[in-house]
Amino acid sequence: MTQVAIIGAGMHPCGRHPDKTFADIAFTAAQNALDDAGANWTDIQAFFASHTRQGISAGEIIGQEFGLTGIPMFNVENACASGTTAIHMATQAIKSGAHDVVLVAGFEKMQRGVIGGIGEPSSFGARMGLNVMPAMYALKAKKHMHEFGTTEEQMAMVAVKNHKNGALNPIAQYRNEVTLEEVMNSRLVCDPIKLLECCPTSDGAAAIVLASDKVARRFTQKPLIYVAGSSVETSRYGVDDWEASRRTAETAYEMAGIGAGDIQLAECHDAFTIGEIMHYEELGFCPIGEGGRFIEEGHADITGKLPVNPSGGLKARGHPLGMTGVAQVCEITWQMRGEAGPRQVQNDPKAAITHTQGYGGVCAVAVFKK
Amino acid sequence: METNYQEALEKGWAAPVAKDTFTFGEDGKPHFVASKCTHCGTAVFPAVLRCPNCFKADMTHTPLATGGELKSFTVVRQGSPDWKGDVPYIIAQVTTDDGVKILTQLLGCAPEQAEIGMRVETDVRPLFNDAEDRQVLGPVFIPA
Repeated sequence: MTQVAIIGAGMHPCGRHPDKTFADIAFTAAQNALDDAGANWTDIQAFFASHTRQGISAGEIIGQEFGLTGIPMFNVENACASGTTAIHMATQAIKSGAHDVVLVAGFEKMQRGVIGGIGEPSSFGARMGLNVMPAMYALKAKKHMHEFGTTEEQMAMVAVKNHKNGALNPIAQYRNEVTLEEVMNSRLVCDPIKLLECCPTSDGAAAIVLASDKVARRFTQKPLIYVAGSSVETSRYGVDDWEASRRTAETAYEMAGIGAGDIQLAECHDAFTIGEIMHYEELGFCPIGEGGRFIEEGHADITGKLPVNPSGGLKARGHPLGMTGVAQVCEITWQMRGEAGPRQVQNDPKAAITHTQGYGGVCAVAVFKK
Repeated sequence: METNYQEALEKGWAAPVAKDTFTFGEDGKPHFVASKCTHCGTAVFPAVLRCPNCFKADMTHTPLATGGELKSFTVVRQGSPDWKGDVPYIIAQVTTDDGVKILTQLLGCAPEQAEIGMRVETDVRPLFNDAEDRQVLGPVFIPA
């Protein structure tokens, strides 16, 4: 069966870029990915553009900057999981035999502040003020604290770790370290979530070039990182908070022929710090309820047994919604090639996972092997 | 109070936050209104067209028990830019005494008084004023 390899990865730095359009930053990321792959735009047989609010045919607008080659272009919107979803679809397109070389770009320019406009405006949830992203995570946090004794300090440790990693990442929005005290003393947004536990709103773009194993070596001599499994799933009725991410990850593990115990590197959806703690559990790095201990014992550090979010994660790298899932794969690629510089993980990972989730109960996971 | 809101709604002085989300019993007490599946009995709030448990489409509206237990909560101190009401406010996950999970606001409760496991009961309260300056009323929980 056809294997799908990542042959190029590129980004535009995250931050505030009021002087640039979404097309400007996405073009830069895509060109960087093409250059990294040793490929030209004319090699690209299909283009998947991931974004949530950049408007009609944003992907085509970027494609037209590169040139009118007539290829199929797809705009992918799946909330915060858009980027991973686009990669999943691109991977399937190559596996189906339809294409051999595909570009995926994820990009977003966002407004400041808590995200608005979520859900149908006339719905009960929207009118009652219930569609507040930090509040959705805060409800899980309160429950996790109540059921498992997870502490506010353990949650704050996620922010400390991810800022420490972001400080080493040249494309991160926040390149400053923060102390546990600074996180704990930052203002409450939705109890118990504090300002320094929330990912920022950001402008940024990331791109990867995927190729079938048949043609990958025509482009690059760098180590090939394979998309060994991927899945996009949604929530079910009447199950626990962690069920959807667990189920989605298990699908991807099975496709890859590995288990959670084989994972040596992860980029996960730390939109709010409790999220990362729950993802340790959902993705199978530790038992349900023990995520707080996992961060406290240092396992998720760059130097730990299973580094999580060495890029700085959504928290410090930034979270331009459509970009995130693609940026995670850029980081995995650089780390597995050994190109991550001062934030290079030390365990030479053979298997890695990326994970995003979003409004509407969507979860998306991809598993990578070297 | 409830009777006044009932009259205000009937006469159009106030507007419900969304249709078919609450009703007043014969005793004037407010109830959340759920969809109940006539096949498997699953009840969900807010109303849905199909049963999420057995996927059949024979749902009826049913008023729920007025009592419940607080399962989780958060104090929203910075809300969505779309929100027209006051901050802070409490978002609560409640399971009613007839077993239906509801996400709504918890009012009449100081943030430091909210506690997982506490008893709550249904009420209807004004949330904000709409473009015609009518009070918009929503079904909420208050401490029991």
